[in-house]
Amino acid sequence: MTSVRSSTTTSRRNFLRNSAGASLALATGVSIRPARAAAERVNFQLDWIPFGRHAPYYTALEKGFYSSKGLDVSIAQGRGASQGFRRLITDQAQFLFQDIGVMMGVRAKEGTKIKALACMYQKSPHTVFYIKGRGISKPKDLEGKKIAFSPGDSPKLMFPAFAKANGIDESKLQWLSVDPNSKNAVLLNHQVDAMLTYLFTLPVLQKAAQGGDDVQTLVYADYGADFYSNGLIAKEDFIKEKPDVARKFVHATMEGFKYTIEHPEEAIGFLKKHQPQLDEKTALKEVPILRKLINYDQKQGPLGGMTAEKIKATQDLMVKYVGLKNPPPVEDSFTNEFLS
Amino acid sequence: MSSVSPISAAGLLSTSSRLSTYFYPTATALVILTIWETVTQAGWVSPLILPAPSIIISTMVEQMSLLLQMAGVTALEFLLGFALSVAVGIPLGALVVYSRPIELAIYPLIVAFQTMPKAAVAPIFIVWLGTGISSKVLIAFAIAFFPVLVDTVVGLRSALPETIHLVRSMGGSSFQVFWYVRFPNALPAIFAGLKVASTLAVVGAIVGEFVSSDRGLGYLVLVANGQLETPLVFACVVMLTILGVVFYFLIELIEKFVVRWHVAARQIEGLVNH
Amino acid sequence: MRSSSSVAPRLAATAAEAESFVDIRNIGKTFVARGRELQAVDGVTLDLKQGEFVAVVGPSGCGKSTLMMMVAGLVPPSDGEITIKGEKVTRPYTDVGVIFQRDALLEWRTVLNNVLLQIDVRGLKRANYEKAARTLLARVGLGGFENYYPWELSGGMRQRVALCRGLIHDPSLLLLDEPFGALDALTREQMNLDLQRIWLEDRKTMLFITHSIWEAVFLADRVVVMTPRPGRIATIIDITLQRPRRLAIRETQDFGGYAAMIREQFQAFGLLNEN
Repeated sequence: MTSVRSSTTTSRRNFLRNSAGASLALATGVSIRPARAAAERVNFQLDWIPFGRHAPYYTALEKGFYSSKGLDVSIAQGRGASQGFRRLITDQAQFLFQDIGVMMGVRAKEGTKIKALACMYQKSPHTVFYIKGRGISKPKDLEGKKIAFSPGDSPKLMFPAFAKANGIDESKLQWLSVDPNSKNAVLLNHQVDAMLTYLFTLPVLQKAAQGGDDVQTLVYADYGADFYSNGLIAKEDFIKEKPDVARKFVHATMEGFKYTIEHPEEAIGFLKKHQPQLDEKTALKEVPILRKLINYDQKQGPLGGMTAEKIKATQDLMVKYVGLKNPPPVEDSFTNEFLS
Repeated sequence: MSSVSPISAAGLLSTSSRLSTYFYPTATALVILTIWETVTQAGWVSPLILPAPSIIISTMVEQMSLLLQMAGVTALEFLLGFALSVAVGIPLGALVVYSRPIELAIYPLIVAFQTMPKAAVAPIFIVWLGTGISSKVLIAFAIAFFPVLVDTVVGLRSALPETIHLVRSMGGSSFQVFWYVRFPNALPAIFAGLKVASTLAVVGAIVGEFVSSDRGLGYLVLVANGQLETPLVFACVVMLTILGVVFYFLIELIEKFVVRWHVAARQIEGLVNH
Repeated sequence: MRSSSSVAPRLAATAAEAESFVDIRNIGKTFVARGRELQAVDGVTLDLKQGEFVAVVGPSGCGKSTLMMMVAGLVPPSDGEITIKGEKVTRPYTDVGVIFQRDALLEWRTVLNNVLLQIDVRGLKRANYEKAARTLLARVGLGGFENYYPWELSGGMRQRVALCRGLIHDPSLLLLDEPFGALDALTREQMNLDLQRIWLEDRKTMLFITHSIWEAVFLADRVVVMTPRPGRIATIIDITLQRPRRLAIRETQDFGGYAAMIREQFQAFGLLNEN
């Protein structure tokens, strides 16, 4: 049952119907198939709480890119790499949007075969934020300082790469675990000297900075720790079993990406439907960053495509700095087959 | 006739009933652990979600010094928070009982404060007090002090009017009424409040650590979880449980001494009614 | 055997005292409950001579307990005044031992310490009273129970401890509000005998509130009969029975006559309806 109707109505109706169906199923213990029996249910796990940078996925949802391909996608917000990988490995999610470097570490540790199908942040956006004039201006200055982090998120997990690339003695660092929602406050109130998170947070921090504080950044990619960061990740078993689903999902997601970069306000509008508390202006500022990270203007090959060289570079970083042992052959970590 | 009551002198429980109080919980625990071990070893549940008890125990043994170190930090936080709730809750309770204006003024505020979910307020405490131990102590205090206050009020008000009349006719002042009658009479209720508060103080310390910390069992749970080291997460939880249980029983032990009369009377009632 | 309102020749062991010990003058008490006024006691005038045993009987709610509380100074009167030994009662009177129906022992103190509470609150030296306390306890048959706790004792034993607590400081006045009301019949009879014995030894002034007609006649020199609410004095009966009174006296004609007088009063109030 394809639709000539507005795709937004269809997908929302689907969403409602499926949630109602799911609740009814739970209540009666009976599985209720929607009218379109062919629709494939897919759980897509994000890396974090949705912000402007996640607009592409909600755009794909709202514009029906998923549903027109027969995919019934539910997007779940995340709390970092560990939570996300856990859900992927235990099949609670079929696709995960997470850091590819961390993926390599998790695969080595848990032994589960997982693979990247596309890479969105082709340059690592992991950043050390600090306030100018308080004793930090380069990576080595971090020694002896207090740094806020969220346990389990990729900036922290990839920090050793940044540290070693810059000769930082990690034993001289004071770490403070902070609830994700309080991380910004803790930096801006001068309760810590530095804070780890994604580059995307810069607009928010600059806006909220008090008393003329100048928020500055040390982006990992600019300091010798450049690797593939977030991308679409799935289990090899799943891809083998359902390659068409994988292809459809990756295509639809990349369509969402294109649309977002070309129609940023509209895309943010779709995002806001799901996250009404977001400030559109701040969210909008993340789209140019997204455009740069995915190499939109200078890409060679399909959007989101990965090169073996950079995968190898990422892997080498993991081996050299994060202690990854027995790295598999490079081809095991990624595939571009679903991008075309 | 001996001058000490034979009931007080002898133990109140016979050997066989004491054995049965230990037997049932132990047996149940063993059954649960066996099922758990079998299920996880058979691979029906992913070890990322639920590790086997044997792995948890071996992790605990390996990491015992780390666990103890972290436990010490969390223990300090909840002990201080608890102490603060006692130091504030009991006198405040007495004030509420003795002064109607104070009761009318602060009781509604305290109830409103109590219904505020502390997990939501915790980040604000961190902003006020910083990321050190004081914010955790304050959160523990904020959660734990209400039962102490309420039970103190209830306890102080539960004195039989005749006992108060008697002390007055003995020429007793209001303070003497408090000291000889109201306060000792309130102790069983106060201890009930303390026992509840003890568990809440532990929760409060952990909530605080979850918001921001660099030490403690809550911190270790987050970090271990973040590194997908699920057995260590569980080891922390076990450690926390042990801490909470020990603390609770410590208070029960103190209760036994302080309100021996009430504890013993309860036990006799129990024996008579069965 | 004639009823009279106040002064009448009676058998007294002590020398006749012309002034009254407790002087209750036109006492009234009104409570406010649920926005309405409730008059508990109305215009009671009574005096107790030193060493006298006066019982007050009356139906429930007739204000007799309230009357006692006013004598004790624990409840302020709405009208009238009470004087004890010439001093007006405006606050809790302390040269008194009070015994309530609920023994109100402190569960966290031993029997001995409950008796000595009287001493502790008054700020007196324990050492001076401990021996007396033990003797008192022995007198009521509780020798050997000093270190027991109240919850280990029966109701009758607890009330005896309360009695000792009311006597340890040698007060000149004893106020008892239905002290034996919660006890079983046999224990009650025993307690009445014990109370009489103690009173005969020390001749303290007693004001004894009770529901029980026979108890009042058995114990008292005078019985004050109160009306239903608002409580007034219906009549005062002099009891001229010989002391010490044995339980068997309850079967004598004289005793029966007194009891009948009181019962007829109650029936005049509309209580104890036999039709």
